Amino acid sequence: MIEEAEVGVDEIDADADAETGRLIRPYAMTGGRTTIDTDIGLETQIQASSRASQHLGAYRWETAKVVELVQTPMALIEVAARMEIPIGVARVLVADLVLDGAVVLHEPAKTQNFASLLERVLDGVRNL
Amino acid sequence: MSEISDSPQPAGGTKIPVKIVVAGGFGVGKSTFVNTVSEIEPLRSEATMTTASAEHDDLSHIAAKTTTTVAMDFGRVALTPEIVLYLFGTPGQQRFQFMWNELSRGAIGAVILADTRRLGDCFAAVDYFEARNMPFVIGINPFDGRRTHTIEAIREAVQVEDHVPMLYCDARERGDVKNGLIALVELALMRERSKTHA
Repeated sequence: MIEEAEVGVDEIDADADAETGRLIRPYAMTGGRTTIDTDIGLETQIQASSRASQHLGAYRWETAKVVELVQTPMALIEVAARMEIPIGVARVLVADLVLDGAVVLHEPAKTQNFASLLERVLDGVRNL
Repeated sequence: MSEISDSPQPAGGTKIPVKIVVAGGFGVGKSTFVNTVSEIEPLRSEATMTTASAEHDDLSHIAAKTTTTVAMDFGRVALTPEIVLYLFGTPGQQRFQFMWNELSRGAIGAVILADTRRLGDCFAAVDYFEARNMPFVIGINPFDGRRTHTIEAIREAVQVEDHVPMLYCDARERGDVKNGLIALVELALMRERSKTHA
């Protein structure tokens, strides 16, 4: 049953793509999923891994586009904005890529001494 | 407009992301503030939240859910070779609080912009960040650049405590925006230090 549904989504993609390239409903990209276990922050940096190219041929265009965007690290929210998709959709696409090992996440350093990070931030802001 | 291909960055450089929320009422200058220091053309992103709305369901059995879409503008600026700052301009209305929760998670704090003509518009944001004990400063964005009220008078009107920094902050002026950010980071650092020494 699930496989049939996915084929249906692919057909929608192809039709929309042929006409304008932008008619696909965003949630069709994720098979309707908008929540996942992985909790990726808006500013979390996403970067394609060296294994990304192994998977590339198998990805649908929107997933391939994410991989293309994050060849250099990019925040989740920027991926969403540049692809013009809701943040929740971008989060699902990225989470799937993480599971594939095609991208890696760089979270804000939580273990680091926050005060020393803030000192560096303060220096940076003063020099803006 | 920024295109996907226009941001060549040094390859391989992973950066530590930090973020600051720019809050305040509608039209108070949040996007302008972000734009003034961002090194990319500010981008807009959307989040949606679906809520069951049984009580509004009387007229139609079809529309059992309402979807709230909230758009926010964000920009980024590299502070050091290792640290990149994200600035998020977020709508101030209470009904968008689901977005504030997401935005304020892990944030350094907030710059709350207020307009002297509509000071009440900033109350929701002030209450929110106060309740969560997050560092915030209040930037008074002077309409037409006219600084007609003293900061003391505005402080009294907004009724925030003396320890909350308040300053004039013309969102169009880089120096003012910078001063707002400095005030916030100084406050956050002071609080972080007092935490570790307590």
